[in-house]
Amino acid sequence: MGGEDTIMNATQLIEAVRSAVAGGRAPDPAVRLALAVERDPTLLRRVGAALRSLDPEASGLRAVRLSVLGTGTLGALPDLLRATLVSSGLAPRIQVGEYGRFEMELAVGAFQEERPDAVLCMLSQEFFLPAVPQGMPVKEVVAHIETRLDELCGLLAGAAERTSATLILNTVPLSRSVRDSFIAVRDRALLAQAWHRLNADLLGLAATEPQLAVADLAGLLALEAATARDRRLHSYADLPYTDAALLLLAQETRRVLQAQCGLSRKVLALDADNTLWGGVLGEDGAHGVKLGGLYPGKAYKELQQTACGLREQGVVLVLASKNDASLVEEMLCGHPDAVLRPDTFSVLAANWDPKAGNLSRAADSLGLGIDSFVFMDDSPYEREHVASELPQVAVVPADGDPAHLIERLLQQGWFDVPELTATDHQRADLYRSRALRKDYSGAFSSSEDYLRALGITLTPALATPFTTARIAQLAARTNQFNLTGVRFDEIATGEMLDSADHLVASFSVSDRFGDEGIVGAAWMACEAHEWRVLNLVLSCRVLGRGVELAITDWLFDRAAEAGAARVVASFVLSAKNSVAADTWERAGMTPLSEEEDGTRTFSVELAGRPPVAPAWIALPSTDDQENSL
Amino acid sequence: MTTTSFHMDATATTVVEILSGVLETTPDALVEEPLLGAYDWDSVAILEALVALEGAFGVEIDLQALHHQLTAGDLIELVRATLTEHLGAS
Repeated sequence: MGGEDTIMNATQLIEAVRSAVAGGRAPDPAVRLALAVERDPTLLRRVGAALRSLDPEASGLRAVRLSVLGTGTLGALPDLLRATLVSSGLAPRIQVGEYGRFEMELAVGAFQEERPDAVLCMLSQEFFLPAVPQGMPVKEVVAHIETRLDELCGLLAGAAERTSATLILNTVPLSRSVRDSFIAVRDRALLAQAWHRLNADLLGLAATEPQLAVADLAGLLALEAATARDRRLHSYADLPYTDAALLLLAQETRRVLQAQCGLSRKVLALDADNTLWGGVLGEDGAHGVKLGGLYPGKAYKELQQTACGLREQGVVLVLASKNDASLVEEMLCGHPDAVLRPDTFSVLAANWDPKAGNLSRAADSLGLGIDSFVFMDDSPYEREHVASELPQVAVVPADGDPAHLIERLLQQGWFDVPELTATDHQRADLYRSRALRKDYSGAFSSSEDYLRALGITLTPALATPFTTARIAQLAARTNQFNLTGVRFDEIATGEMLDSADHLVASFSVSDRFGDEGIVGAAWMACEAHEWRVLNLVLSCRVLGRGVELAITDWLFDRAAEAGAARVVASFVLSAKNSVAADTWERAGMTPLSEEEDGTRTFSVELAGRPPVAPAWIALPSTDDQENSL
Repeated sequence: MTTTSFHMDATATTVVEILSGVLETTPDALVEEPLLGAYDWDSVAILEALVALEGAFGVEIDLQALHHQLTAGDLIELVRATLTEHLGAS
C-alpha cells in the first residue's frame, strides 16, 4: 500500500529478502520499511518463508524468542510473524506449539523449553463454544462461554507463574454460521451480548495483568474489508482465520514486541506546506493557506491535533519545512487554527537546505538516533530524497486527500510504547530544552548523487502566444523566487514577443517523478552590446535543485550568441523573496551597486564566462532546442 | 485427465509464478517438471495455492477440484475453466 512510494515491487522485495538471508544478513533498512507498509498477506507469507533460515543471533537485528500456540491450525501465522517482526527490527526465533494441544501446552508449560520472551496464544471461537451450539438453549451456550473463559484465565494464571514471558492473546470474532443458527431475535442478542462480554473480559485481563497483552483482533476485523474466516479452509484444515486476519494478528503482535523491545520511534518530523496546512505559505500567505474551518482545512487541523496528541504522549516533534523561518514562525504563532505552536516543536528547521541534512542535525541536537525518526511529507521528491539519504527514517506520504493523513500516520504504530510514564509526558519539553533551535544553513553536499539520480531536465523555450498566459500567471503568483518583483501581465508579455529588442522565455522542468510543466520565466531587454534581465521568476516547487543556475547559463549563452558583451541584472528585495537574494552571485555575476532601498545591481562579462549550472541538470540537445525556439 | 504440456499465456504465467512460489521452486523448473507430486504438494501447500490464486484472479476456485489436480498444467486448466465460468456468469 505504499502507492507511488513503493520503490520495490513484490518480486524485487522478495528477491531482496532472499539475497539478504542467503548472505546471512537481515534485509537492509529500506527493504524492512517496505515490508512494514506492505499489506498483501500472500506476499508477506512468502517473505516470512524466505526468512525462516535467518539466524536471529547473527542477523544484526534484535533477537527475540516467540512461542506460538493456537486453538486451531496456525497456518501462515508463523511466516506472517517473521515478516512483520523483521520489518520493525526484530529477528524472531519462533517455536510452534503442537496442533490440538493448546490447553495442554499452557497447562504444563511445554512452551517454556525455549525460554521465550513472549507467547502468542491465537484464540478462536471454537475454544469458547460448545462443540455443537446449534439448537442448544442460548442460556446454556452463554454459560458455556463463561465457563471456558474462567478455564482460560486459570490456564493463563498458571502459565504466568511459570514464565516471565509476555502472554499475548486476541479478542475473538463470532462467525455468522453460529450467530445465524439462532433464529430468535432475542436469543441472537443474548448470544452477541455474551460474546462482547467475553471479548471485553479478555481485554480487561491486559488492564489488570502486566504480563498479559491483548490484541483486539475482533475490533480490527470490523474495520477492515478482510473476512475473518474462510469456511472452506476451516472445514478442510481447521484454519480458524484467513491470511488477512492472521496478518492483523501478526501486526498487533509486532506492535507489542516492538514497544517492549524499545524499537518504537520517538520523533515525528513534519513538513509544513500541504502537510500541516493546505497550500504554500510563501505563496498564499498565512491568511491564504487552508487550516481549520471546513474541509479540507479541517482535515489539516485534525492532523495537527493528532501530532499534538502524540507530543502529549512523549513523541518529539520536529518541523522540517522549506520555508523562510520568519514566515513559519508567524504562521504558527498567529494563525487562529494552528494547534502546533513554535514551542510545540523541539526543533524548528524552516530553511532552504536539503531535508535529509536538517533531519540529521536534528537527531544530533536531540541526542537521538536517526532510526527513531518518522518523516511525513507530501512531496514525493522530498520523501525519496530523505529515503535515499537516510534509509533508517520511516517515511510517511502526506499527499492525496488530507482526510487520510491521520490514519496513514498512525496505522503502523510507529510510536507505540508498553505504558506511558511521567517522563513520557515531559519528554517533548525535555528535548526541546536540550535542542537549541537553529536555522540551519548549508549547501548540497551529500545530496549530489541523489540529485544526479533524479534525472532533472530543464527545457527552455521562447515564449509563444500559447505560453504567455502561463508565463503571466507565474509572474502574478510567484512571490518567493521573484527577483525584481515586476509582474509583467499577459498583454505586456505578448508585446515583448513581437518586439525585436526583447526576449521572453519559459522554462519547463521534468524529473523522474514527472513533468512539472512551465515553472519559470524570464523577461529580457536585448540591446546590441548589453542584455538586461527585467525579471526572472521560478516556482517554489522546484527550488533547491540548482535549476535557476541552469536557467541563467542558458540566458547568458543566448546573449553571447546574439553578440552582447555583458548581461546586467538586479535584485529587488521584497517581504517574501529573501530565498533568492544570492541568485545573481551564485550565477557568477559581480555586484555593481546597491541603492538605498536595498536594490542591488549585478553584471557579468560574457567572454570566457565559466558555466555555473550544476552537472545534474540536463538540457535537451541543441537540435531539439533549436526546434523549440 | 492429466495435462503435461501447456500454452504459456498470461494466465498460465501467473499460475506458474504463484505455484512455483508455493512449492519453493522456480517457474522454469516447474515448467520442466510439472508433476505436483514431485514437490511438497501437501494440504498446506494446496491451501496456500488456493488463497494466492483466488487473490490473484479474483475468483473462487473449487477446492475439491484443486485437490484432485496432478500437474501444473491441470491447475492452469482449472483456473482457465473457472475464469470462463465466472465471465459467463457475470
